[in-house]
Amino acid sequence: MALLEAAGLGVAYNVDGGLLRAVRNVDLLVDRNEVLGIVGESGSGKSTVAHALMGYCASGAVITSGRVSFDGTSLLEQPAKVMRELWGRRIAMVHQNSLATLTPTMAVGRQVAETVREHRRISRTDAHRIAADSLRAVSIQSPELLMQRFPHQLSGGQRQRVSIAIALSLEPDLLILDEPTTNLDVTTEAVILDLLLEFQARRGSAMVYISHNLGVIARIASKVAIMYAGEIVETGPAADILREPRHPYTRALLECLPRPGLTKHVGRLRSITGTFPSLRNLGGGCIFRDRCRLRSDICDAVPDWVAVGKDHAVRCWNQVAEQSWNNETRGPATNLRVGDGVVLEMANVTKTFGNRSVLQRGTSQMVCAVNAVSVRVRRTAIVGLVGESGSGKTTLLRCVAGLERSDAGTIQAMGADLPADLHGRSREALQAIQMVFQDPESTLNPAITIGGNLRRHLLALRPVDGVTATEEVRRALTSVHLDPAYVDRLPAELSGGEKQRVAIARAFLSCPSIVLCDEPLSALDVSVQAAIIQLLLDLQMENKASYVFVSHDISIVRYAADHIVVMYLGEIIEEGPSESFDTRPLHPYTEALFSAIPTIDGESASKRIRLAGQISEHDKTTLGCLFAARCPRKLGMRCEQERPPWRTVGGRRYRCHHAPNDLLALQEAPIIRAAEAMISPEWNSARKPAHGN
Amino acid sequence: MNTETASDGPALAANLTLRGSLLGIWRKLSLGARLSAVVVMIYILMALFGTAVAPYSATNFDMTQVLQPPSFAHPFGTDGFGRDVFSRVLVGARTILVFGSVATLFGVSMGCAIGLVAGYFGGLLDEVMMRFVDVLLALPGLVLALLIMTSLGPSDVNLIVSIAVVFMPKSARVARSTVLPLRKLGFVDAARMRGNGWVAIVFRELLPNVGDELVVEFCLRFAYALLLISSLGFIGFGVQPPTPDWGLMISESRNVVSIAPWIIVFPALAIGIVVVAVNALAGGLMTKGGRRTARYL
Repeated sequence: MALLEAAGLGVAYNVDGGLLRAVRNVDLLVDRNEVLGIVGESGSGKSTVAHALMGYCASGAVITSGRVSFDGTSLLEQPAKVMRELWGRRIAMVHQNSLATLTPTMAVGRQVAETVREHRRISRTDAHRIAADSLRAVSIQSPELLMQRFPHQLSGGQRQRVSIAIALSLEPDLLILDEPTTNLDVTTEAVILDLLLEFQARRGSAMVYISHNLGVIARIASKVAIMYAGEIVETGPAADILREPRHPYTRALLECLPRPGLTKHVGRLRSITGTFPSLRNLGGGCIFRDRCRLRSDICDAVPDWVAVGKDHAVRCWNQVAEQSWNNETRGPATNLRVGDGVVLEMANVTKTFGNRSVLQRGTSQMVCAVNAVSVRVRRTAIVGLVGESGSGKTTLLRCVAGLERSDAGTIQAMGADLPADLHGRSREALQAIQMVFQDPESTLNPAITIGGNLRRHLLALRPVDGVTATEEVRRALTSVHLDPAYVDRLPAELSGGEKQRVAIARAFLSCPSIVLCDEPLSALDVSVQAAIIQLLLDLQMENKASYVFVSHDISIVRYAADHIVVMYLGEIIEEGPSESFDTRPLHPYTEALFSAIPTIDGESASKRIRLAGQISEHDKTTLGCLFAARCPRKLGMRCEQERPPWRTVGGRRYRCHHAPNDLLALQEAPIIRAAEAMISPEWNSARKPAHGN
Repeated sequence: MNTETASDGPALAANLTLRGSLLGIWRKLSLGARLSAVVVMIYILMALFGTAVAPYSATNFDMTQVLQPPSFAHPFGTDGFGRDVFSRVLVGARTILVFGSVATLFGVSMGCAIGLVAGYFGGLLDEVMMRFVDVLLALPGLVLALLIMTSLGPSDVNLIVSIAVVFMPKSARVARSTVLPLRKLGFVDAARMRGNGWVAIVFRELLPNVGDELVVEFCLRFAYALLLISSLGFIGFGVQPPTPDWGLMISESRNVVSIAPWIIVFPALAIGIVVVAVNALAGGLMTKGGRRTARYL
C-alpha cells in the first residue's frame, strides 16, 4: 500500500466572482523510498497540490473532490488535533521562500528546537542538542554559532538549510518540498540536493519534490508527474519521461531548454505559443488544446489516461511519436556576428559599499563589491557576466548604468568617457545605454498604464510631438509581439512575461547601442524564457545593439552570449569566447559551477564537484587567491600566499597557479566529491574573523 | 537572485474592468459605505444651497421669537437671540465643510510632499524632516491648533493654517511609509536612467502610487477637521461670529441647555452625523476602493 495516495483530488479557491478551479482530478501515488517530482510552471497548481497532500487547506481554498490518504488514514476530514500530530513528525514540508517561512523574531536555533519539543517530551537542553545535530546534518559547520542568529542575518542557502533541518529534525516519513532551491545559487543547490538524497537513502522516506526546473527533477526524482493548469498530463519514471516524453506539453517544455552544443548560431529555442487558459471559465476538452502542436478535432473531448510504457501514462489522444512531432531543426536564432570596434569599455572599475555601523565602533565593514574589473564589449556582441551571489556582477552592471557610482576606474562608451553619475551624462549617453531589469513585477509603474509607462520614457529621451509619440509607442508594442491595444491596460493586468516584453520595448525606445540586462529571465517560466531570448536576439539584429547580459543561469549564457566573463567575489577569474567554454572550463571555480548545473541528459553523478563552505566576504585576502578557501584543486601554501597570475590559452584567460595542461589533466582524473579545502592554521588566522559558517 | 515564484502565469484581469468610473466604485462599496456616501452628498448639497433654501436669516436677531421650542414655523426652534436654529444649521454646513476641506487639503498636501521627499531620499534628510514631524506629532491636535491660534490671533485664515499644521505630520508619515518600499523598485531605476531628476521621480512616478492611500487619508482627516473646527468654535477660537458655526452654537447655549435643549441637540447631531458618515465612507473606500483612475500621461 502506498504511503501517500491522492485520488481524484480537486481544490478550488473562492475569489470575487466565482470559483477558481486550481487543481482538478489529480491522482498521485508515492511510496517509501520513492521521490515523486512534480513539474509545473506558474499557475499549474503545484503549490496547491503540495498543501493538499499534507491535508492542509490554505485560506480561501476548498477541497472540491477526491481524497488524500497517508499510511491508510484519510487526511482530509481529520480534526485539527490529529493533523497537528502528523505535521512535523510524520509529514514535513519545506517552502520556497525561507525568509517568509522562518519566524523573523526568533533565533534560528530556537525554531529548530521548537519543532522537536512540540512532538517529543524532552528537556530544553536535549532539544537544543538535537537541533544542533540536525543543523550539522545539513552541512552547517559550527551550528552553535549559527543557532543564535536570526533569519535575516543568514544567507539564502543557510536559511533554506535551516528550513530543511526543521523538516528533517524528527525524521518524517514523508517530506514535501515546494521549490526549495529555486532562489539559491547553483552550487548551493547542488549541495542541498545531495543532502536530500542522502537523507532519503538513509531513512527510506518518501519525498515529493516540486519544481519547474527539469534538470533538478532529473537529478532527484525517481518518478515524475507533469502538471499543466491544474491537471496532471503525464506520469511515469523520471528517466522515461525525460528521455521520451509522450505528452506534447512535456515535449515542448523539454525543447525550451538550451542544450550543450546548441548556440544561437546553430538553432532557435522553441517556445510554447499561446497563453495560459483561464481557470474560471474552463471550456471542455483537453486543457492544453489551445497551445498544442498536435491538436486535432478529437481534442475537444477530455482525454483519458493512456498507458504508453511501464508505469508511464499520458493523458492525450495524440501522443507524441517521432513521426508526428515536427522535429525539423529550425534555423539559427541570429545571424549577427560580433562586429569590429569596442562600444563599451570598463577599466579597473571599483565599487565599495561602506557599512560603518555605529554599534561596532571603529570597525567599518567595507564591502568591496567590484574590485578593479576591466571588461570590453565589442559592437553587436553579447557579453555574458556569470557568477553567483556576491560576485559583483550586478553591481558592475549598475555602475555602467549609472545607478551606482563607481569609486575608481573609468567607463567609456563609444569612445567617450562616461560620467559615473547619471546627472552628468548627456542625452546621447542616456539614449545609448538602457537597461532591462530583473523583476517583471516591479519594472513598470503600477499606477500608470502601459502606454503611459512607455510614453514618458520616450518623451524624456527623445522629445517628439504627441502624435509621433503615440505612433512610436504602438510600434514599440508590436515590435515585442504585443497587441497595441495593451496601451490602455495597467501592468497588473499583464502576465510576467508580457510585462517583461514591455520592459524590453521600453529599453529599445531610444534605439540604444548598449542594452544592459540584469537577469531578465530568472523570474520567468521556462517556456517564456525561450520566447524572450528570441525576442532579445531579434531586437539586437534590428538595432545592431550590444548586450551585457548578467545571469546566474549558465546554460542560457552559453546559448546566447558571444563572450563569457566569470566573476567571483568582485573579480574576474576567467573570461573568453563562449565557444571555448563549451569544450572545457579551466578555472576550478568555473569547473565547479558548470558541473553543478543539473542537466536532464543524465550526466553521471561522478562528474560533480562539490565546493565546501560558501562564498563569503571573509575569503577575501590581499595575499592569495580569492578562491583558495574552497578550491578543490588547491596547490597548497602557494595559493594562500601568492596572487595567481593571468594565464592565456587561445582567446581565453584565467587566473590560477595551475598551468592549462595541468588543469586539463586534473579534470580528466577521477573525481572529487565533497571537496575538502586544505587550510593551513596560519592562513586561517590571517584572514578576517569569520562569523561562523 | 530575488526570484519569487516564476511568473507569466494567468494575468489577473478580473477586478480591474470597473476601474476609473464613479459607478464602478459605487458598485464595490458595502451597504454601510453607500449609506454614508448618500449622507455626505446631502451635506454637500446643504453646503451648496443652504443659504438659498434657508427659510429665515441665519444671523438676524429677532427678539420676539427668543427660545421657542421646535414647531412648524421653526423646525429646530430658536436660540437666545431669536435666530432660527434650522437656518443656522443649514448655513453652518457651508462654513464647516468649506473650512474643513480647505484645511485638510492643505494639511494633507503639505504632509504628502514632506513624506514623499523624506521617504525618497532617506538618510540624513529623512531623519531631520521626520524628527521635525515628530515634534508636531507629539502635541495633541487640539492643543497644537490652540497654540497656533493664540499666537497668530483668531481669524479665519489662521484657523485654516492651524488645522493644516495639525494634519501635516500624520499625512507625512503615511506618505513616507508608502514610498519606502517603492524607491528601490525597477521602474524608479528606469526613470533615473532616462534622466529624470528627483522632482520628476517623486511627483510623477511615486505620487500616483500613494494616491489611493492619500485619498483615504484625506477622508479620515476631514472628519477630524470638522471635529476640530467645532471644538475650537466651542472654545471660542474657531470661526468668528456672526458666521454660524455649529460648535459655537453649542457653546453659546450652554447656559440655557436645561430649558432649551434643542439649541444644542441639533447642531450636535449635525456634527456627529457628518463625522460618522465621512469616517464610514473612508473606511469603505479603503477596503473596496481598488484602483480609481488610470493615468495615461
